[in-house]
Amino acid sequence: MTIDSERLRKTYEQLKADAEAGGYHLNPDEAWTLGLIEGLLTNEDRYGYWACPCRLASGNKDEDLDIICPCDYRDADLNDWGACYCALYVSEEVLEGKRPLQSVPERRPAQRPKAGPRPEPAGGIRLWRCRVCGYLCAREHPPGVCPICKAKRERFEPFVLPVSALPGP
Amino acid sequence: MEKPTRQRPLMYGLSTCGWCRKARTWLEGRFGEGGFDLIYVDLLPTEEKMRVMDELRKYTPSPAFPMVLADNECIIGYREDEYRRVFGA
Repeated sequence: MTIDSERLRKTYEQLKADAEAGGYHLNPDEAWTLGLIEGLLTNEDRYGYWACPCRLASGNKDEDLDIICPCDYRDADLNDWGACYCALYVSEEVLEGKRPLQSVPERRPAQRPKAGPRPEPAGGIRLWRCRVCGYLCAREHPPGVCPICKAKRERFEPFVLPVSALPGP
Repeated sequence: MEKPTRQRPLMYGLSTCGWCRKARTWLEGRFGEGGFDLIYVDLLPTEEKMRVMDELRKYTPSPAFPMVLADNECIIGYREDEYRRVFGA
């Protein structure tokens, strides 16, 4: 891996600012975090997208969509383990030293549904849901970038809010 | 599932992964640089990658990295407690 140090530093600063703006935290161990960002940039050069540095990418973007950083599993792992699978992101508890950092078991299913549009449930209010952070928006089209976690448009899925979930009159 | 049979520890890892870096450092501390084998799966040519993943599926239904194989042992993820148990401190 040979990633230009200026590119690495710039990416780190940007990622850190984005994380904090969205209520997330990068791992405060800077050497660790820079090592992972180096891995992300290596994967950007290798595959054309930010495949998770701690998982084996297929090289096919559609198949790897769920493990493009930030991955679909980050928030659940932050909740359950205090860190994402790579420990690039950590929870506030870990950040404040109230919880030890440990390695995180893989929750990505070995057998995954084939990539492609999923069938939409009928009836209700049509929304878009960010698969990474759960952000919902009621727009005709998903946003280009998730305003919360900065995941790109292709990470949004149709989400139908059943009318029964709405408060009555 | 099969059990690996080998005297010399073998680590499968990813060159981009932080936990793999930590595992490598641990094994180097225990066995010295040349005291174990190391394969970075992400750096292998596609066909070889497939072959290795098929091989790893003999030991676990869902391979993840780092994966350290030793005699009768298959340790998945960076597990210092397991390394100590299997290899001694």
